[in-house]
Amino acid sequence: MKTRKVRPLGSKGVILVMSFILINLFLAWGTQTADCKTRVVVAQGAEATRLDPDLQRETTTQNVVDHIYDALLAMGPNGKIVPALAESWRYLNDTTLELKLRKGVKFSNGEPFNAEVAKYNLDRVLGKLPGAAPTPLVEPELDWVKEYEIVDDYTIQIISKYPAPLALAYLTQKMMVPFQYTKQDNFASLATKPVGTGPYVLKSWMKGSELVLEARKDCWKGIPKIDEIVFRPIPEDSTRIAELKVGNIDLITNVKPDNLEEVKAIKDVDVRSVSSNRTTHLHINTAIAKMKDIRVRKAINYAVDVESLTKNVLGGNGHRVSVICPKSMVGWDPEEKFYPYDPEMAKKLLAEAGFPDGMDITILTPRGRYVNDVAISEAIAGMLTKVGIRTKVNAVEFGIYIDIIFKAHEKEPELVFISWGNALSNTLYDLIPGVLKGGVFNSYTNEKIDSCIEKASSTVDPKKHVEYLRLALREMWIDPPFVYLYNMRDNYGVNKRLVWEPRSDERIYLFDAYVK
Amino acid sequence: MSVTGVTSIAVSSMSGYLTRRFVQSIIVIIGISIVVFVISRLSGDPVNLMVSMDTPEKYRVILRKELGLDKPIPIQYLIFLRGALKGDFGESIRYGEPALRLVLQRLPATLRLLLFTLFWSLIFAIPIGIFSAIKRNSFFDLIGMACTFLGQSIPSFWAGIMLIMIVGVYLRLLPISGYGNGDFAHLVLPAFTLGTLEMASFARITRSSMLDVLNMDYVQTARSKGLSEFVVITKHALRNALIPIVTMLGLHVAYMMGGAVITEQIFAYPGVGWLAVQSIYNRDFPIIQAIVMVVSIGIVVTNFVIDIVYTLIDPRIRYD
Amino acid sequence: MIEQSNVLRKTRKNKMILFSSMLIMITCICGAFANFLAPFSPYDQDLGNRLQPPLWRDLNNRVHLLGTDHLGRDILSRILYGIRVSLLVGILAVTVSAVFGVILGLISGYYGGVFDDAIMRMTDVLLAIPLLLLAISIIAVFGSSIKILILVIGFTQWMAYARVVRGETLSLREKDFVMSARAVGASNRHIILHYIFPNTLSSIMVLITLNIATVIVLEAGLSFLGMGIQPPEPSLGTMLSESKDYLSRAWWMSTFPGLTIMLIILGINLFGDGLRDVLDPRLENY
Repeated sequence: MKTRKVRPLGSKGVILVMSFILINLFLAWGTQTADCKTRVVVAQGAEATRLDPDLQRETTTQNVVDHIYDALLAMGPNGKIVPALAESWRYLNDTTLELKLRKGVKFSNGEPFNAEVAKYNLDRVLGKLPGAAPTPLVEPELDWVKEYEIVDDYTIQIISKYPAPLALAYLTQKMMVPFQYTKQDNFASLATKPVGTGPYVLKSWMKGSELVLEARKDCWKGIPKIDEIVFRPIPEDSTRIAELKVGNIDLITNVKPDNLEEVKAIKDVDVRSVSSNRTTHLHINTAIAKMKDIRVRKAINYAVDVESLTKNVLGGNGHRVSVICPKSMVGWDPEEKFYPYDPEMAKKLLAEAGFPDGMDITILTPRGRYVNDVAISEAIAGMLTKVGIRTKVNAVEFGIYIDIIFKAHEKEPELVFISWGNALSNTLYDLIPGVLKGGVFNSYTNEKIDSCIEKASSTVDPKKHVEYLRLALREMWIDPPFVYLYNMRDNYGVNKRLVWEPRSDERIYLFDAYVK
Repeated sequence: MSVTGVTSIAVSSMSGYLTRRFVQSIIVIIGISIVVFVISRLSGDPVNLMVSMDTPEKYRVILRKELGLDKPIPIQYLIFLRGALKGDFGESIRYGEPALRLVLQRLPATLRLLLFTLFWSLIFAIPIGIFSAIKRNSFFDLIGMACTFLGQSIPSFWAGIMLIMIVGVYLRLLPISGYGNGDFAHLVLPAFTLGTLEMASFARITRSSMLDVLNMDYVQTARSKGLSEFVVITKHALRNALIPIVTMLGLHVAYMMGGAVITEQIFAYPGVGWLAVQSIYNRDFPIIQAIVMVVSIGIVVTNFVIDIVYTLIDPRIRYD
Repeated sequence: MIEQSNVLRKTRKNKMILFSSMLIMITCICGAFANFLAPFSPYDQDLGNRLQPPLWRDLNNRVHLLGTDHLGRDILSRILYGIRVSLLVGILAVTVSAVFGVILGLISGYYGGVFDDAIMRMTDVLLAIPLLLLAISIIAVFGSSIKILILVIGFTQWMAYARVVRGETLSLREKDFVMSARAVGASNRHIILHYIFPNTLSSIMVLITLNIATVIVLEAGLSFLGMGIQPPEPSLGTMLSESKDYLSRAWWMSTFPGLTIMLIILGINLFGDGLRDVLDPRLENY
């Protein structure tokens, strides 16, 4: 078949197409306006959702909220409690806390802060404001509060139901919202047009793209050195690193151990790391009969080579923990002991417990929610299989993981990958749900531990508090409800021009930071 | 039969057809909303995701009640329907803002990406497909097919990350992520990533259907009549080859509207796809419902338009 | 009779079909005999030797031809075992979609009317449901397994086949040769099977070849959610998604599974194209 040559497009067509392409390219380079404001861009994995501090508990949102609002007290970077809207405090007795509030504090809309406002805030969270929507995310944190009263304009007393050692820590989490502004529309606009006492106000927010905070001139803390903070959500790790490389971003969170070399190699960038409060362990589901046996639980602890995990899979970015309390938190025991890596011992204990041929179990882990979660679970599965505990990994999406955890399970999974951050820097916060009888997903019971925890949670004497916590932890080591693993180092990629140090509680706070 | 005769018959059967399709579209959209409503509530509990693991059950109950999730599903649906008819799709569980508003805010970005991608994919893909068909088994054909083959076998996340590394970081030629101020520069890399599969699909289907058509009798007839090759190709061959291409177009628009998901996430592009994924992971039912509603209206309209286009291309097609 | 032997002769002569059949067969053999061919177990971890480059020798002087992954496992062995899973899932899923979709498409396009409306509206509904949502809900309610994975993929892909085949059927049914067949008294079934269906084959072939790529990547995406293929089972798709975090640090983790996927897709594409060429002459008779 003879085919004649076909003239493509024709010269006119070619010119048309070329000019179209050129025009597009020309329009492509948008103009950038230069500015003499200092601007710091922070990239998180997700964006903030609502800026009403009592209606959310997400780290990504909290990082924004922390710059707009203040609480009565604040958690210092090393876990120590420092004054904020309350200048000073003292315990009148075991259950009565008196706080003296700072004078002259104004919200960004000019409203004053005083004891009336503080009471209003407590009323809201504890459901005492008629017509206001409940705040079930924050209310549990203040369930130790029995009553409170205004002593004078700048003094408030809070009486607790029982001596509450975590009271002060919880008070660092309750941010203060203004009175008039929220009363006039029943809190409706607070989430999108926040008003707080903090050093920044919301300048603009394009959802999914950029949230811009602007420095306030009249904050009680002073004027921050950074004029604008921009929060950008970037879900993909490599994209965050790429933006850091070209200098569009100044601070990225959660640099994975395997990406550290790459980030360290960037010319104008530092890796700043801090030991986090987050501990990782495997929860043993003692609702399953074979897991109840203490020998089985010990065997699993002997069978896992945690050093290898931290050294190899985490690239050295984790430290082994004896139980679940890292050095930075209240309750850490300097005399801690570790289960040595001893596969032979594991096999022996298994045989003693009646499993000479091993057993079959499953590890439940979320996918991509925690650093190297699936990889660590697979690695542990490999180690357990070597001693006869044939392990399958069930790696599921985080929502499904959470739903499975909240349902009681008598068949599987035998082990659950758990990673808990700790905003209060106090191990009691982790012990109550995880170990105490009646905790949310627990069927493990040990009276000694329970009584230590009870005692620790009902004394405000710091020395006794720590003593009881340590006793609880020691007992937990002897009768392990968990497979103890490690605590991570958090790594942040930071542009060298930004002077800022990271915190153990994973919060990003830039008030004291500045640009060189 | 004269041309006008044929057209007038087509038009009168059209109006009956149009009403039928319209009614069906409403049924489809309602059907979709019910299916998605039920499926999302089966997917998990948003409350469990919002509270910390140690929150006692009583607070979770309060939160569920606040969100209206304690009622039986059919009742929840009726409440939703009542609001939806007024344009109120409820409040996002996470954002606390009206769900429809949050979705409509992100829609323009997605549409821009979609149109930009489609335009550039088609501009390259269709001519490549046509020439590959005309010059079958030639060197050009081989290269063309090799490229399309690459396009469809490279996973989009790989393409996206590579493009960022090479074009964004190494060459510093284009911005890497985000929306910028809506300029084209921020669209280029995402569109390229999204478009690799599109280009491959369109090129292949164009080539294949052109090949079919070029062998048909009427094409031989047209050639033997002495018409120039150009006229043969455009007037006779292309028209008939268009049908599968137009079908693919419809499918791809549907795919891209709800789902340029991977691309949007890699480039942190604030479109509907990323919002959809985020909302599904958060079990944010009102947003999921609103997105599906918007996307399904888009799909229904697109398919409708495509069916009309079929009749324009090939007047012999009837929908009785 | 004569047509059939012509087809066979052409098939044997057609180089593309030969070459691609060989490619596909080699791949299948690799998958089937992975036990014998793989130098290591695909599950053996070696945490001290993660992310080693290709041609790296370990302490026992055994060489990892394609390097190791993020848990120290041999990539070549995992690819060989992974081919098995990916091909299985891919072929079964595509079969489910193609069979279901083509049948519905033919019915829809040929009979029109109520059938057409119902089927097309069903595709509208299914196309609008986000796959991610569907997948998560299915996992939440039914748990996960390879069977479920195949069914889910199959049921989300049939719409393309149905729509394309319907479109062509609509056009074909008005063509002269179909009209004349009807005039002669041929039954609808005969017309569909012998006149319409063969003419849609080339588009179906193209769709299948396009689809296999999508299905393999879909398998990766769904396994990423925890549906079907759980770690430590290797599949080409999961290996690809595991490699995402190591693209710059360990290029071999993504490149080799990616190349394998490409070879499979290449083989299937060439096969489809070759098949098309072979089937072509049959069309000329009409």
